[in-house]
Amino acid sequence: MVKGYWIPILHSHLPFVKHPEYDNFLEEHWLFEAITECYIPLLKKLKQLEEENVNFKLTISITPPLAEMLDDKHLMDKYQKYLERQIELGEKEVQRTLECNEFCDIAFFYRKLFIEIESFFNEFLQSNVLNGYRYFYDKGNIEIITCGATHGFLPLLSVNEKAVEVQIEVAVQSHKKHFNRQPRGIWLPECAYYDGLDEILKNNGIEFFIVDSHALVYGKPTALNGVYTPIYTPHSIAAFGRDSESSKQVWSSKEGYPGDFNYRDFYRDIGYDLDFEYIRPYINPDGARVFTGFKYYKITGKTNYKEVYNPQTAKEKTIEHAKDFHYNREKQVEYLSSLMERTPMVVSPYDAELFGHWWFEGSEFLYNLFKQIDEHGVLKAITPIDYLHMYPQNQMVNPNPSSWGDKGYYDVWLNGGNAWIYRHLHQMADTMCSFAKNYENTTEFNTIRTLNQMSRELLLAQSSDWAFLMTTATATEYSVNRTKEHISNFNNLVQMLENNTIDLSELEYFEYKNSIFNFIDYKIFV
Amino acid sequence: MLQEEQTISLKSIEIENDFSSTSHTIDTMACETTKEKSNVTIPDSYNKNYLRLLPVNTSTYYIYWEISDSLLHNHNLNLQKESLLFIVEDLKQNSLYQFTSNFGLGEFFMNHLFEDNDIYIKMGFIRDNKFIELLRSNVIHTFSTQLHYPALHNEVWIKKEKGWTEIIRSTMQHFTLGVSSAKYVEETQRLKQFSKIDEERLSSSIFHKENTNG
Repeated sequence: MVKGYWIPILHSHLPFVKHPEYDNFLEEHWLFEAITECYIPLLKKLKQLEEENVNFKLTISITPPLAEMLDDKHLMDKYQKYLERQIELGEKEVQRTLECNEFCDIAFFYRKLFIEIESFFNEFLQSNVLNGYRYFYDKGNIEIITCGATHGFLPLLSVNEKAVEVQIEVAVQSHKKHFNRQPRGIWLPECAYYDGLDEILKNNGIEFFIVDSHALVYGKPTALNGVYTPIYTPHSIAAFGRDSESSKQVWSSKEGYPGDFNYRDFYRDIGYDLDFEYIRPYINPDGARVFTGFKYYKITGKTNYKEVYNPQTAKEKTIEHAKDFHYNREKQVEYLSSLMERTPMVVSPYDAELFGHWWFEGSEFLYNLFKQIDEHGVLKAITPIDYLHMYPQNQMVNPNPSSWGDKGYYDVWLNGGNAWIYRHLHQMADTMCSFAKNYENTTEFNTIRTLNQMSRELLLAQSSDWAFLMTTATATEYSVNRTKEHISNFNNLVQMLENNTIDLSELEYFEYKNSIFNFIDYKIFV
Repeated sequence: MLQEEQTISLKSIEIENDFSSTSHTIDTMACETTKEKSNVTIPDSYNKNYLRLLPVNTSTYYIYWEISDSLLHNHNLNLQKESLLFIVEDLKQNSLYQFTSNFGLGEFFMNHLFEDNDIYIKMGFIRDNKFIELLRSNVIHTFSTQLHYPALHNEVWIKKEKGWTEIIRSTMQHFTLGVSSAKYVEETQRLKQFSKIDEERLSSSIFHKENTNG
C-alpha cells in the first residue's frame, strides 16, 4: 500500500557560454563536464531502469540556455573533440599505469567509462543530449519543466515587469522549440518568488512551480499542511514546497551521502597531480592546471591522506545509501500521515549537476533508489502534475517572497559585490521596451536584426549566474567580463540605431557569438 | 487551527538550511584562471532620473538613484550645499525611515525592518521648511517572518479540474458540518462526486469524450 508520494526534481542549468573565437575555452568545459559526468550518466541509468522494467518518475528542469547549448552545432562539435581527447588521455593513462602501478585498474575504468559515454552519445542520443530527455518525456517517465529564459533572478528584475514577462514568455517559446509542447511547470530561477509573479505564470499557461519551505510556511495564510501538500496561489497556480529533510540527506556538506569516505574524491585530479609536460595537452591551453575528470582517489577521511578509489566498493555504497534514504522517507511519510487527512508528498529538488559532478556516484544512487521504491511499494515516485490529478483541491496561500539561496532571501544575488549590475540591467530593460515600441512597425531588415540582438544581449546580461559567481568569488572575473560585455554590446547596438548607421560586421559578430534564441522577436518587449 | 496542522507547518522549516544554492554545482566547476583584461567600457551614469528600491532580505534594502543635470538645474539644486532627503513610506503614506545624501548618483543599503508591508521611497529636498519631491521609486512588498494561521472564517481552498476552478471558503456556517474545515472540504467533495455521477448518467458519452481528449 502506498503511504506517501515522493516527488524528485532535478534542476539542470548552466549559463550560456559560447566562445567561437577560441578552439578551447575553459568556461565551455562547464558544459562538457556536465554532459559527461551528469546528463549522460543519468540518461544511461534511466535507460537501464526502463530495460529492467523498473517504474520511475522524475521531474527535470532543462533551462533554456542549457537546451540552446545542447542544440548548438558549434558547441557539440567541440564536445565531440573533448570526448576524443578524454579517450586519448585514457589510453595514455592505461599505458602509463600498466606496470606495477596501483592506479592501473582505475585507469582502465576511466578509459572504459569515456568510451561508453561516447558510444551512448553517438548511438542512443544521436549526438544530441536533448534526444535522451525527449525520449523519456514522450514516454511519460519524466516531466520536463522550463525555467526563466536566461535564469534571470526575477524578483530583482521586476522593477520593469515586462522584463519578467519576457523571461517567462521566451522560456515557454524555447521549451516548445526543443520539446514540441507547452511546459506545464517551471523551475523559478533560484526558486525566487515575489508577490504577483503567479499572475505572469498564469498568463503563460504554467500550472505549477517550486518554492522553498518558508515561502509556504510564512505565506498568507500559513500553509496548513506545510510543504507536504501543494497550495494554490491567488491566481490558481500550484506551488510545491521543498522538503528540507530529504534535501539535507543528499545535499548537506556535513551529513550528506556524497561525503562518504568510499566515494570518489572531487578535488584530487591528475590535472593537478601529474608531471606538467605530460598533462599539458589536456589542461588549459595557457598552461593553467584544471580538472581533467581523471580522479584516482577516494575521499578516505578528513585529512589529506588519500587511498585509491575503488568503483565497485563505491557502487555497493550507493545501494546502502538508497536503502537508507528509502527507509527514512518511509518513516517520514508514516509520521506525516498520522497528522494529515490525505496521503502526504515529499518534494526533493536538487541541482542535477550535483549527481555525477560533485557526487560522482549520484546517478547510481538514483538508479538504486528507484529500484528500492519499485520493490517495496510503500512510496511512489510521481510528478507534481500526478499529485494535482489525485488531489485537485488545495488550500489557497499567497507565498512569501523568498529564494532557496543562502539565508533564504535575495542576499546572494544582491550585495555589495554585485549590486552595480542592477542599475544597468534595469536601464537596459527600460531602453529595450522603449525601442521596441518606437520600432514596432519597422520592416527594415537590419533594424530588425539589431533589435533582436539587443533582446539577446539584455537576456544574457540578466542571467543570475553572473551575480552568483561574483558572490562566491569562483569565477568573478569571467562573470564581471560577461556582464560588461552584454551591457556594452547592447549600448553599441542602441548607438547604431540612434545614429542610423548599423555596423553590419559588428552586428554579425554579436549574432554569431551570442546566438541564443534564434526565434526571438524584439516585439515581445512591446 | 488544529494542533496537527501547526505541527506540520512548523516541521516544514524546522531543519536548518545549510545546503541551499550556496553550494550550487557550477561553483565547483568554475575555477578562475588568468584572464585577459576586458577592454569593454560601460557607462558610469545615464544622466537620467530614476530612483529604485530592491529588497535584499528581511532587514536590508538596496536603493540606487540618479538625478539628471537638467532636473538639478530646474530646481536650482546645488548638492554641495543642500542634501537630498529620502523618505520610506507605506501605501498609507506613513513615514517609516529617512536618510540623506549629497550625491546625485548614488546607492545605499538600508538596514531596517519592514515586516510584510508595501513600501516605496521618495526623494526630494527641503526648501522653506517644505519637502519638495523629485522622484518616487517602485513599490515593493517586503518579506514576512511570521506565521499567519488562517482564522476559521478566512480559510480558502481552491479546486482545479480540467476547464474549471472552484473557490471554497470556510465560513462558520460550514463548520456546523464538523469540527474542522477539512470536514467541510470532504462534504463538498462528496457533493461534487454526486453531481459528477448525475452528469455521467445524463450524458456519459460527452463526459467520456472530454476526459479522453485530455
